[in-house]
Amino acid sequence: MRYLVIGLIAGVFSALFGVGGGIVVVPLLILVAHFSERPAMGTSLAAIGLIALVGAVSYAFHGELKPGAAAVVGLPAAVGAVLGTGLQQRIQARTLSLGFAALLAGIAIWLLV
Amino acid sequence: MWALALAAVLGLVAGVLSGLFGVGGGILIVPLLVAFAAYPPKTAMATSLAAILFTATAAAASHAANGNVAWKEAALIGLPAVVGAVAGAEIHQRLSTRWMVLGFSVFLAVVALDLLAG
Repeated sequence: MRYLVIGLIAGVFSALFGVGGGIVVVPLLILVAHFSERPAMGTSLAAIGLIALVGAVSYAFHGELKPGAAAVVGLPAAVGAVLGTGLQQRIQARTLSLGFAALLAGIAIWLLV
Repeated sequence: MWALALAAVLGLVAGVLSGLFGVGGGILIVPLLVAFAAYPPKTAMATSLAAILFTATAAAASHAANGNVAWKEAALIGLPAVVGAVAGAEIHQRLSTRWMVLGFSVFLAVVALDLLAG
């Protein structure tokens, strides 16, 4: 049940901000579903893959998706994602938590300013 | 040309963050594409979602190789999220963006504090 609620919230955020929803799914999996950091992050990525697929297809139907632009961002991003995952395996869970907290705090401040 | 190079660098950075923290990277891609590569907001969002498709697939596959993906839970989150996305598109038409951004910032700050407290 709580997964369904997490999914609904993530979907709403995804549509509102054009994001995948991972920024909401990871914290909620840790805080509400008591996942530890690494499984929370891996599971989040699998879920937002699905969200992004549906979102991108619906934008494409409205003619707002530029495949060239998406590939320019997306292909280096895929390389970066594999690098990031490799790096994540070497970092302690607590350090990972602190880094994620810093990222969230940074974004919160950035949005407010 | 500069916009292209910038978009590619942005993609790489967003990808590393994605692999590191389990997010798609859209939270960075959307505002930066608008601010620095002069994309209109809707194109930025569409581009972001398509790019997330790449990052999420690549990162989820490597996390799965390390045994860190709970597939059942991922489907339980991902499927209602699609419904939520449709609801979000409706809400978008009715609610002031300013309030949503404010609420979102507060949520992020609370989570950050909770994570810091351990």
